[in-house]
Amino acid sequence: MSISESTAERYTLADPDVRLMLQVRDNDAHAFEELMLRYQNRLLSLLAHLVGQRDLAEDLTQEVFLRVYRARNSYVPGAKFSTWLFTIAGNVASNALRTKARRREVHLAPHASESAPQSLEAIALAASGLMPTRQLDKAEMCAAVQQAIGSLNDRQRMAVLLAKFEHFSYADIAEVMGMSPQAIKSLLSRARCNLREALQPYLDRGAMINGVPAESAAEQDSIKSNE
Amino acid sequence: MSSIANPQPEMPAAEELVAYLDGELPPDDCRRVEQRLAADSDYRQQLRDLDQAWEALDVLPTPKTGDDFARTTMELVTVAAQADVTAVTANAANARRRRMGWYAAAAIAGALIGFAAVLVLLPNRNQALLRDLPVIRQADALRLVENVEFLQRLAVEVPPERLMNDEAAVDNELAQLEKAGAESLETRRQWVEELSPDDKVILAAQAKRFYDLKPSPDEQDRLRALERDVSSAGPDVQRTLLAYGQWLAGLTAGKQDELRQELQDRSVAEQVRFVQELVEQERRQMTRRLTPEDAERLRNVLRLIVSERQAELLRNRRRGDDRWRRDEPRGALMILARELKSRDGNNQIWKRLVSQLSPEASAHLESLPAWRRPGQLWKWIGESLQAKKVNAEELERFFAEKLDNEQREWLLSLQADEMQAQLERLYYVELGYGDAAKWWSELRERGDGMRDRPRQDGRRFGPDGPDGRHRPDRSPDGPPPGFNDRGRIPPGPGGPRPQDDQSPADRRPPGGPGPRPQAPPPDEPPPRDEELRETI
Repeated sequence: MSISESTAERYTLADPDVRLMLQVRDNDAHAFEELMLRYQNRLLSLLAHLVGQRDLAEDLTQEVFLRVYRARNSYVPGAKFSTWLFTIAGNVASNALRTKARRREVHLAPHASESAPQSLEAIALAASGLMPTRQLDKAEMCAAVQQAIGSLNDRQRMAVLLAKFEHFSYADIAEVMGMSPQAIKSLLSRARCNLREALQPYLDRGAMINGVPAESAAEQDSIKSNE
Repeated sequence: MSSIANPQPEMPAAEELVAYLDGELPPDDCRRVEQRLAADSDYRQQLRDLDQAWEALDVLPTPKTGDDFARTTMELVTVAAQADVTAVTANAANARRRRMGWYAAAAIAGALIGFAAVLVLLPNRNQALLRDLPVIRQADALRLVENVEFLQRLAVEVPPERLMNDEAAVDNELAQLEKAGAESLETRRQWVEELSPDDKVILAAQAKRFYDLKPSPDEQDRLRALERDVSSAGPDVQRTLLAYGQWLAGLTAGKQDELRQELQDRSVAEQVRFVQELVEQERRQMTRRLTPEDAERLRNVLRLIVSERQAELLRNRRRGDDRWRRDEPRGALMILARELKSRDGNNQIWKRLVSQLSPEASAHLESLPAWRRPGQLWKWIGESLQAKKVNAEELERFFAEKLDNEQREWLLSLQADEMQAQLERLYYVELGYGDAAKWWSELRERGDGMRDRPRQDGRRFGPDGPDGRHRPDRSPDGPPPGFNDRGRIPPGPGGPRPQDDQSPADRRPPGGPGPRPQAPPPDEPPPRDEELRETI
C-alpha cells in the first residue's frame, strides 16, 4: 500500500524516532545506533516473553535490527516508528516460533522450566490449600505469571505484551498485528480473562502483587471504584 | 489512546471492562460502565479480578541487553554493510583506484560504503583500531618497505618531489598523521570523528586491508614495528614514505604485486635502484599523454580535413567497402586513416596534423621509431576525439545503471585514469557511435601489422611490459588494456580470453545480468550520426 506524502509528513513531524529512521535511510550510522540504544531493551523484553528463551531473544533482537538496516532504503514513514519496528519484531518472532515448533523445542515459560520445574497447579496448591496464609515470594509469583503468559496463544501473548509493556493503543496493536482494532479488543479481552483464570488462585489467596497483598489491593480498588 | 468508535451494545461484560480498563471506551460507554460499577458488586469484582491479573504481569522480568550487545549488533550490521560494499568494490587494490572506484560507483554503492565506514569507525567502537591508526594509515606503503634504510636511501636517490604528484596532499597527510598518531587515543578518536565521509571510507578500507594482511598477525606486527621505526626516524623519512605511498597508489594492484615480488631477495640498494628505474620510466610515459590544448587543436584540424576531403576520401574507398555509406564522416575518417599510412598519400595530412602538436609532443613523436609514429599519432587523435567527453555525472550514471557487476569490478580493478578512459570508451560504444576503438584497431590490423612488431623497449616492470614478456594489453599501440577491438570487456581473471580468430559475436564476456555494450550489427546504420558529426 502506498503511503501518501501527507501521512509521511505527519509521522515525520510527530515522531522523533521516525526522523531518526529517515536519517538512517540517509545512511547516518549514528542515528541507527541511537535507535538501537532506544529500543534494544524493549525489543529484547518483548521477544524474550514471546519466544521464552533469553539467548534466542537476543539473537532475534539483532535480527530485527539487521532487518531495519536492510529495509532502510525503502523506509517510508507510514506509521509510528515503534509500530513499524514491532511489526518486524512480530514477524521475526513468528518465524522463530515456527522453527522451534518444527524442532519441538517449545517451552514458553523459560524461567520456570530453567529452575525447578513446577506446574501452575502445583504452585497454586502451595499457595492455597497447604499454606493458606502464605504470601508468595516474588520468584514464585514470577514463575506463576510466566506460566500464565505461556498459556496464552501467540496472538494473545503478543497483544498482551504490546498493551502492557509498550502501552500501545488498540489501533497500534492492530497495525502491528495486521488486525482490526475491534478484533484486538476481543483478543485482549479473551487474553485477560485467561490470565485472570490462570492467576486466580494467587489473587484469591493473598498473593503479593508488587509487594502489596492482593486482598488489600482489591480493597483499595474497590474504594477507588466507589469514589 | 484512541478509543473504539462503535462499541457493540451487547458487548460482553469482560470485553467492556477490559476496554474500560485500557481507556479504549468512548466517554458515553465509560459513564455507563461507571454507573453499573457503582450499583453492581459482581461487576465490580469482575473488574477487580481483571485488573489484579493485569497488575500481576508487573512481576515479569524485564531483561536488559548486555554491555556487548550494542557493539555486537553494530558489528553484525557492519558485516552486512561491508558485504554489500565488497560486492561493489571487489578486488580493491590501491587508494587511488578505490577512491576512483568509490567515486564512480557512488550512485549505487556510495551509501553502503559510507554506512559501513561510519559503522566501522564509530567512536570508541574499537580501541585496537585507534591504537593501530598510524600503521593502518600507512600500511599500503609500508608493505613495500623492508626497513627504514630503504626509505633513507630512497630519499637520496629519488627525491620525494619526483615520487609525488600532489605535494600538498603529502604535506597535508603529514599533518594528519601527527593527529592520527597522537599519544592519546581520545585525540585519535576525535581525529577519526572529524574526518569527512570520503576520508572515513578510505580509512575503513585501509583498516580492513591491514587486518586482512597475511600471514596474520606476523605481517601486522612487522608493519607496526616498521611504523614505529619510521616515526622515530624523523619527518624527512616520514615524508619520503608518504611520497612513496603516493607513487604506489598510482600503480594498479597487479603492478604493486609485481613490485613486491621484484623487491624480494634484493639488497636495499638494489631495491632503491629498481624503484628509481620505474619512476623514470613512468615519467617518460607521461610525455605520451596529449595535453588538452594539443587535443583541441588536433580535433579541430581533423574536423577540417574530413570536411574538406570527405567526398574525395569516400571516392577512394575500397571496392565493396560500403560499411560507412550511411555514416560518411566516419567513413571518411577511416579512409583518411588508411591514406595516412600509405607511403604516397599521407605526407601532407601527416604534416598538417603534426603541425598542430606542441613542441613536447612533436619531440616525443620524433623520438619514436618510424613505424610507431602513425600509431602514436592516431592514438592521440583518438584521445582528442574522446576528449570531447561526456560529463562526469552522465558517466557516473552510466556506470551505475548500464554496466553489470562484472564490468564494474573490472573497471574498478584498473588504475584511476585507465578506468576513466575505459569507462568513457564503454560509454561511447554503448551509445553506438563512439566506436573509436574499432577505428584504431582497424587501422592497426589492416595497415602495418603493428600489433605483431617486436617491442623495442622492455623492462622487467612497468607500463610497457617487463623482460621480454610480451604483454599485449600493455602495448602502447594495441587495444587498450582489458578491451578487445570492439571495446568489450574481457572475462575476469581466470576466465577465458577472447581469441583473435573468434568472430566478434563470439567474443562475449561471461554472462552477467547487465546490458553489455556492443557494436551495432554491420548491416544496420550506425546510430546517432548527428552526434558523431558533432564529435568530429
